[in-house]
Amino acid sequence: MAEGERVSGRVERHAVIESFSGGREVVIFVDGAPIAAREGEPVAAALYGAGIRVTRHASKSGEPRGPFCMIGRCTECCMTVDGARNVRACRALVKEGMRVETPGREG
Amino acid sequence: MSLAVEEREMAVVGSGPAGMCAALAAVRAGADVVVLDENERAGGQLTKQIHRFFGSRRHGAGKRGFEIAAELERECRGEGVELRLSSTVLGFFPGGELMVEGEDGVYVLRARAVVMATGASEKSLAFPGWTLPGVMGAGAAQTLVNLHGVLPGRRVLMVGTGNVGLIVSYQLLQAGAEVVGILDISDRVGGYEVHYRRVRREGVPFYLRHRVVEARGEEGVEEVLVEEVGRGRGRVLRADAICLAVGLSPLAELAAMRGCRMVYSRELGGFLPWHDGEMRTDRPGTYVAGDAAGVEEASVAMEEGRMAGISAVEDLGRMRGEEAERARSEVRRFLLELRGGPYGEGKLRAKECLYCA
Amino acid sequence: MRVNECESMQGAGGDPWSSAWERAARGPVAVVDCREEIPCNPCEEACARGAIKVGEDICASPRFDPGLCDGCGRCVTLCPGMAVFLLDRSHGKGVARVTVPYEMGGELLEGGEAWAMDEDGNALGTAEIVKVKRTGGRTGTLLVTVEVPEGWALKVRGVRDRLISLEAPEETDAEQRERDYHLCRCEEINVSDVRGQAGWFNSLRALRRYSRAGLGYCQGRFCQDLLRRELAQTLHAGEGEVGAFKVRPPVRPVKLGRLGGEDA
Repeated sequence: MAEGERVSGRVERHAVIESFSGGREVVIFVDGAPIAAREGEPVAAALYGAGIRVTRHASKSGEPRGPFCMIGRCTECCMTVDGARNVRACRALVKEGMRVETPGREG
Repeated sequence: MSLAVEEREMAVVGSGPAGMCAALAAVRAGADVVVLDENERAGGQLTKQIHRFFGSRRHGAGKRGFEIAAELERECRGEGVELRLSSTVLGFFPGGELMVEGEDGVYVLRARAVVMATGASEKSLAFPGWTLPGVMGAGAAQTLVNLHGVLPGRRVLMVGTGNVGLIVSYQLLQAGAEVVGILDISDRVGGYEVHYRRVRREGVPFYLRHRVVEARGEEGVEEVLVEEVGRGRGRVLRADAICLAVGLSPLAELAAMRGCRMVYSRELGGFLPWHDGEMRTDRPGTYVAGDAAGVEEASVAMEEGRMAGISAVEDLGRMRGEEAERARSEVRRFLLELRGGPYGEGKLRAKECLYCA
Repeated sequence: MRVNECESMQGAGGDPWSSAWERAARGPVAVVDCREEIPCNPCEEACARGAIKVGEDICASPRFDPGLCDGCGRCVTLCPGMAVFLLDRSHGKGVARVTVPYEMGGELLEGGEAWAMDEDGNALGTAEIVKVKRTGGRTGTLLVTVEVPEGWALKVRGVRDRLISLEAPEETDAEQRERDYHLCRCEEINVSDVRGQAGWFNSLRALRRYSRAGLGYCQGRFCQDLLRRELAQTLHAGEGEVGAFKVRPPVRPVKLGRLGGEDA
């Protein structure tokens, strides 16, 4: 990856789709840092839209993990959302000011 | 703990093409029908399909998947089907009760007829590095890109040349991502030729007879080592996402919990509840339709849904035997038509095998 | 060039496109490039003039009569396989106009240029966009007409606003040390664990009980297929034979409090 190049992001133009899931732009906090998100979209989508792919770290090895299925089955996106642990970020919907923590992130 | 109990005549689990068509067939015969779906919107996988569908007019051919979903939803609401969204079925017990988590809590729903139209889940493929962020199911990528307007990566490697792999690759291109390759262990493309050519003419390279050796990266995929099978030389592709489109299997947990006899069919995607040609399982008042009854096309799911709906209302005493048989023979004719051609043959054989098993 | 190999109303002998080619000298005509029997017939319904016929068996290949076609392009829009395009040779001067369906996000404007792509994704070169027609509202398909040298007329299958930037992949010796990897992502059970212990178990349920594979967060919903495939391979058994995990409620995660009647 080139320096500063984002691996993911928002779709800028689309020929066939008129609108996507999220509503107005809001700010949520991921491990304390603010990111732009859209109200009502899944938290996991908001993270990807902001270029964040890691949603948790494996409990034994500490390896990074990210969303895999986006339909609530794989549990790889289990994060702490507004203090509640083990919330699937692909099912939890963005609310303004939401605080999201990545489990197992050191420091 | 005691949960509230709701009594209904008929419940359908899943609001995809099979579920909504089952509900429509039943409500038109006068049944009281509630459709449960864990998602916030009705339509199942149709909601994220933005390509035009094959089939005939009856199945919405020439329209985009999300348009078909919207039409079915309108019809359901118009005919008085209750679509209960954001409602997850947690259990289906041997007595026939469904345990449901709705927006207001968990309750028990007891229905005299239950159609399981729960769809399919994506199969996966494991290789060194597959746990890195950026490796995901093709369906997950499709959800991100088509429903939420988010790219799974800027440079994507697709694994699998079936229709899902081809269609999702095209959709990633539509959203502005680059597809750096489509890889398959097989030496031939698995999906429809038209889907292949649509992607091919955009300039996407195909790596047939190839396998993923490993994905590499620190906080996510950065590159992928692939190898031509048996050739011993590898290639390193720069990619930030790997999408796995390696097949679907019926989502049949509820059937197993209900105590339905489960059978395994490689052709139909894995374990599924045994059923007859009229979509009855071996448990009373319990029906199955769509991908949950064996992975096929959306148009087939619609017809199987209709079939299940008809059988259910017949068993509920809302439709006379002869009338039900007439309706079913029409559905049978469409199913035979849809399972014609070189792609449908294997499915047809597998289904016939199953009905007799 | 591979062409529509179906029995054709365009008459026996020679290239089934030859009559479309002749017809194109008088103005736009459809070329139906459908080569495979799939259950599909929107092209038949799209054509108001009855130039495309599929018939009762919807898996049959379409038959096309260029004499009846007026080049309206509805079939180009509606073909789910995007396998129909228009050919127009009436503008003389050694050029041809080709109209293709376009559903990408690129900004293609009349008077501008686009890359003309052949069926294998090779760029033939750039071509002038002479027409962009939007069909069916905001989410409709664009019909993009480009003017190309006559020699490209039957080669152009698509247009792009830019080419996919592909660098040649770096070649390397694949002789890699086989790395171990997880099959069960939640409990971090490796493929070597399954292979090494498989002799002790003959079923997926036994494997789960002893290795803990499938007992993590996802409760086996996710890894079951992979574990089954690996166990079956190791035991030289059929996937059906090694069985399935016993399914227990809840089939989706739910907070225990909610089962006790707590609100969300």
